[in-house]
Amino acid sequence: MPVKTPPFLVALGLVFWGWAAGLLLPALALALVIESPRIAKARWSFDGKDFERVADLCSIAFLVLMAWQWFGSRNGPAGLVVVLTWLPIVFIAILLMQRFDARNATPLSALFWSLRRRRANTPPRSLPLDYPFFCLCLVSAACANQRSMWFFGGLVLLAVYALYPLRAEGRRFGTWGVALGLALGLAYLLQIGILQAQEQVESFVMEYLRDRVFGRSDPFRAHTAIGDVGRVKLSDRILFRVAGAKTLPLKLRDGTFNVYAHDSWFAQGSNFRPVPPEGASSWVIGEGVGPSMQISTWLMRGRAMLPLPPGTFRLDGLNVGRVEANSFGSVRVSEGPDLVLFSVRSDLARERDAGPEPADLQVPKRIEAALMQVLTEAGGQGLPPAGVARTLQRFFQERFAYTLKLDAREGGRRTLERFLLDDRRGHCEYFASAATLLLRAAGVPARYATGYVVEEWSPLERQFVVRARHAHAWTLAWIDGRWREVDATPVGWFAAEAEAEPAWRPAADFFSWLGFAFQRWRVSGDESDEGMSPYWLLAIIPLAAWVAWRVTRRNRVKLQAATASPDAAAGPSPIEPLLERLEALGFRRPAAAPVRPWLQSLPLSPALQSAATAVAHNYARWRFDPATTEPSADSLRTQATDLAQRIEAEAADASRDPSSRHGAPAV
Amino acid sequence: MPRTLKAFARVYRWSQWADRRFTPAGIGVVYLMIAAGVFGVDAGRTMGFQVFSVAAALLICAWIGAGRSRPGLRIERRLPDQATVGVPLIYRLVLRSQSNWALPRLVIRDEFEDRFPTRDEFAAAGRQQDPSGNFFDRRVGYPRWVALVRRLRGGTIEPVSTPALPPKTDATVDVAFVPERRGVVRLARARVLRPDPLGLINAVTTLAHPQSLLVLPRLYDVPAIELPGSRRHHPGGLQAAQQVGESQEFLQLRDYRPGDPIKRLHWPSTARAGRPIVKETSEEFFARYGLVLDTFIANDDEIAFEAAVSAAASLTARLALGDALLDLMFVEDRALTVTAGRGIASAGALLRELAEVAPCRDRPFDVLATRVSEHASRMSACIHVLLAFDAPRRDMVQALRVAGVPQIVLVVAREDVAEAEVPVHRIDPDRLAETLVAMPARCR
Repeated sequence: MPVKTPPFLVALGLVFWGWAAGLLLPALALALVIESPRIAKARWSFDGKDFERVADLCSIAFLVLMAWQWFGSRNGPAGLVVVLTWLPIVFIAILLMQRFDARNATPLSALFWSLRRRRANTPPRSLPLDYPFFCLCLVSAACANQRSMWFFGGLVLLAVYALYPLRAEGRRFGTWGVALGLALGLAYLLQIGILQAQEQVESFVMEYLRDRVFGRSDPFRAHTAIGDVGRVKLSDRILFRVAGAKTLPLKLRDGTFNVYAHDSWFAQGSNFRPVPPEGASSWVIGEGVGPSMQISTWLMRGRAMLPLPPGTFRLDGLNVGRVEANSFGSVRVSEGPDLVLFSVRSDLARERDAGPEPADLQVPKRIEAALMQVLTEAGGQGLPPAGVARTLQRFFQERFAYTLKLDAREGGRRTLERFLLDDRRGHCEYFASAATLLLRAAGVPARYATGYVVEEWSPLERQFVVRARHAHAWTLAWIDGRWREVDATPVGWFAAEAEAEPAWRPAADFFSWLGFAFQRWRVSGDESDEGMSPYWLLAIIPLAAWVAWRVTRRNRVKLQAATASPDAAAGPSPIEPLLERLEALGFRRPAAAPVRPWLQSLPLSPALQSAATAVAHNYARWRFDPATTEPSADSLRTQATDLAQRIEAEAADASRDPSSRHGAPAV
Repeated sequence: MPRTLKAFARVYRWSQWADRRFTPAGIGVVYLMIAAGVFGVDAGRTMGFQVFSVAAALLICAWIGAGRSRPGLRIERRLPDQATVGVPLIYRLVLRSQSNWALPRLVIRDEFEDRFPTRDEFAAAGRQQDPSGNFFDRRVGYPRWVALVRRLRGGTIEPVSTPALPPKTDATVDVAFVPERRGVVRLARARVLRPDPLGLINAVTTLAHPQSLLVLPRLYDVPAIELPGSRRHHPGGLQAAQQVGESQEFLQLRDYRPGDPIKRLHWPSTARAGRPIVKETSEEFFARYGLVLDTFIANDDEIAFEAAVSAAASLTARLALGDALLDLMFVEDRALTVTAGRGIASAGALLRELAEVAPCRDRPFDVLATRVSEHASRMSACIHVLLAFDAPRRDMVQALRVAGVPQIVLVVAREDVAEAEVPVHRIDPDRLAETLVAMPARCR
């Protein structure tokens, strides 16, 4: 049974949406427009095609909006949320059309393309869009992200108002109120629970991703694969691109760590400090003179540790909200787009890393004996720092092998001791960790550094590409009063890692480049936060005007016809009050039963029977003789209401006096 | 394919369950919850989680509030004997409250027996599906499957609301539906739906109540057919109307000849003569018409077959038989002839036969041609409703023409058919009403 929408429900939904989205004035205007059919008497008789045209126009507006957000804004998913926030404006035209339509319902074919070519003999179906549009207002209001408890309060009030006409018939109002109160109380607890659960899950997932997938985004900790067995999986995914590099191989560092514990390196005492901006997109870390290169890299949720060459003193064209640097030379950015393209200037002579501290000489007690044994074997004791570094590099080159495939003999975890004393096979993290600790054991301050090696030239992109498998770890040793890179990993590791290259890599690279080029075009299109101007959305207005003209022009005649004749479709039947009251008394008109014989068949007193016959006669004239002016719909309604009251009164008398002959029969 | 059909059946049962269990408002709240859940998956980015919470809490409370309903109600269905395809049928449900409490307004869903299409039926429906249908329907087939289920079921019965029932009282509600196929449709059960206080979720009680209804074929307007011989004088008069073929008027007694029916033995004369003597009565000469229905379906064209059945039914209903007989001839698993007129049976009997006639897929057309030729000598005129006009059918018509039987030949086809010695009128199954009303009214 169709349910009447409570008065002004859609208007209230629009106002709520306008408040949440900060568009209160436009929302009030829309609410006035959408409720205007209550005052305006004009109605059209639109057909399915008219609705489909307007629905198509709304869809086009939606697509244009999506395109505008996608191409014109660099907000990524946030752009989609903006589109969702505007949906009431986009789709209000179709509801407005329904409100001015005589049937006050929208054909489903306007909403679903699949129903437009419907089967023969399938009757068209329609649906009043009032409640769905109200729900759309709620969802759009939610997308506006008004973080206020007033939002929940408004939501609850609207829910109560919207649900009141939907309550089950025949149930007590109190029962409905209690059930609704319980539901809304549960909703309050549920939304608090969801918020807390999301925080917990997000925290857990981010921790997991940081450790396992984006292990390099934590500036304070570097999880190593020391201890893992089997083949270390390395991805071919291109992480960033470098143009203008002058010296090769070039190491780009994204993290420096000074404390080793439990197979992980930590950066102790490295507090990040904001880097002051210079202009809109330049960031000055220090002073210096040196060459520049261009780096383009992806950011995760707008944040990343930047891979930078040693001695970086200036970043240009870096369009992010915040840049911070620590005393170990690591730089992190936040509040940025998905992709950043920036220029780096570096000066090797002026490095910014803080000098050695006591932590740079610490060696874990657990492996100290093993380190001293290896150091003695390598002949590194008693040498100057530069000599120790050279000796260790040669020692690792000659006595150790680089491999990504580590077995788990004896069933235990691999350890750094086992790497040093037993199998002497491992990947760069073993070599870098071992070299750092051996240098410390020899009295040379050393730090563990992570980053990437830039060596692969892409003929397709005409620049260097850096893949996930180009990730590397090395040592920074304090030699002759400055930090120098000591790479203990045997030569050839780069080629060894490229061996596992899959056959489809060229194709994957091509698509990666396409994606990169597209993103570069997006972010370089407009540097402002607002994206492209929304005013070019006005281009849709001529199309909208044309559709409106087409739709209303064809129905203008129908409008005149509708106002000239009391077509039953144009409004409720004048005898509706009579039928409703009779139904309440238990006399329900069967479907498709003609009014006159049915009224005459009712067990009424003779006086009422003749009145009912008169009503039926006038109704037939009003309904089937459009040229008639008498009776008018109003006089017929009055007559029907009067009859209904008389029948009710007689039924009430009959119930008081069971001996009465003519009463409403018990049903 | 069977796995697909099983999946369709599962989806269909699930959708039916959801349709029963949720009120339209409840379905709206479910959609709102899904939309808010999708767009509000990141609680930090939107407030969708609050909308989701409100929708989910409403549904949880409604579910608990619906509980298990046992309304204490018995239902009696008052069905008419038969209905006609396309003509709205209104029947009554009598509700008898067994409860000591007043019952609130309930919703009753009278339901047909579930019958899902077989693999062959689904494949046949795919071969004849409307090429102008939408892509999803053509590609996935679920809408086609649902349409087939609906057709096999026989129609769709809209739910009806009951009045509030005082304790231990009866009430009646009218239920309306439009039969969508001919044959026997089976109603299986009535479900009583009682919404929870919020009006979102129904408690459902199922009352098994199997009953069947015969649905006659859809009838169309046809011109008044002028059948030759219908005004001929019939010796034997009206009294003979109860004795078709021969009248009671005595002609002679003669010796038994092999083949004579035993019931014609005149026992007193046989006793007297000591040999079988047969009583011969005068022959009747009533006009006898043939209506030949071609059931040999080609290319699984069910639409054409149904059009042919409807055409035959419309002719049966329209023919003014008077004192004549009408033989309906068709083939199912064997050749059948059903006769009506002159007190044997009414045209309604033929309509009931036509309501259940099924296409013949495993017999040659000759079976029908033979049956028609056997009746040729007795027929005053014949109307053919054919599904094609190929050589065997042409030969059958030609044989009747040679035998001097006036005929009307209707061929249900989408394209023009070749001309023959006898005029052929094409019936377009897609424009049945239009082409049937234009059929010739006189036999040639």
